[in-house]
Amino acid sequence: MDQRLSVVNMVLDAHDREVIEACQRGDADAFRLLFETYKDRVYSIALRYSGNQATAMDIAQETFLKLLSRIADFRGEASFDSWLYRLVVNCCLDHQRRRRRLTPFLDGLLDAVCTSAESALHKLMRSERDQQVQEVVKKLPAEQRIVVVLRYTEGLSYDEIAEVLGCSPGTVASRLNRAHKVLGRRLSHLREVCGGFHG
Amino acid sequence: MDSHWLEPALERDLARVSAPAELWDRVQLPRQRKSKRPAMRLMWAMAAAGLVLAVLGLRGSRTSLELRSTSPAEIEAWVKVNSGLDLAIAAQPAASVQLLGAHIIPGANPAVEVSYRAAGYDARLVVSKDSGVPARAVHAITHPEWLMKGQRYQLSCADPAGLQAACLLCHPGGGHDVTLN
Repeated sequence: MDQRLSVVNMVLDAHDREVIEACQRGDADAFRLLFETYKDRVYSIALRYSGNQATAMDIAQETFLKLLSRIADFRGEASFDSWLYRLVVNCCLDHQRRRRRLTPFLDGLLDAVCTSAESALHKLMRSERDQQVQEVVKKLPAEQRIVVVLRYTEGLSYDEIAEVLGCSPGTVASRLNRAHKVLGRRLSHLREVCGGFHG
Repeated sequence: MDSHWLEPALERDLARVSAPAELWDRVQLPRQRKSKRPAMRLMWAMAAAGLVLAVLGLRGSRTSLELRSTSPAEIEAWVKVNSGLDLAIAAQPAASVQLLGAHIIPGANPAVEVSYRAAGYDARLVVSKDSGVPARAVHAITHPEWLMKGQRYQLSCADPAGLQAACLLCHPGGGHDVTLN
């Protein structure tokens, strides 16, 4: 199975329709192939959006369960990538909405507990700069944060982001511009320390 | 704003990462759905468990659910992938039905048990291939076993008062067309 996975991963683009159709028929191997192909994308979006590994695992798990239950609805009118991006974006936003129901105090407490639960080794491995960037991104409003993640984690164009979010490319540009201003201001000290981030 | 330094920095520091290997296990076994966050989550879980036990009067589930879900579509898809069986739960079950989840019954013949509450009582629907051994009812109060489209069904409920309501899982309108054994 693992050998088959590695082979199919390389050629999934050419046969993705076939794999998706097999998955729609309930083929467990096909679902595994889709999972292996898209797991890093889904997890990365969840991680960069939430800024927390445990939360990212919850979101990624929920995304794949939803994929499993909704793939029969995928008709191929949009690309599968866009469809999946929409799924993970909605899971990110849903997760945030659920957390908002907690009082700000409890929300902050949960953040503190989650942060302290990270292993000491992991903390050492994460660079200070990476952590600071992630923390600043995490504080952006949800609508700006998801645009930043799709742009810089996934490298999507304005048009592609607009298709995923169901808004206009102008709206995407506007949200990104506002996010850039906030990020530039809050991370300006890193620019000076790191000599313009080119290190 | 002078932001020529910002975009390369974001591209690098927000770059894609590899998903942890245990993600597949969690997708396969949704009972581990919630992450192992210490302290707060444990406290919430214990409080919630205590509340549920109090409300149900310790009449709760005797089996551990592999999938905890209230979504008919999610349960159907999970059952299909994990057992090959087709469920036909109503997309909008009746108001008196609350889905809890499902688990696979191990054995040579694939079978699945769907757990739910019907009119406030524990109810189970056990589905297996027609070619297999007849499913064993979980509760003493059972609906006669029936066959439909090559699958064998066994419905049971903790209380006679809930048995009729239990049928509403798949037949929210009340009527159904099956072959009784």
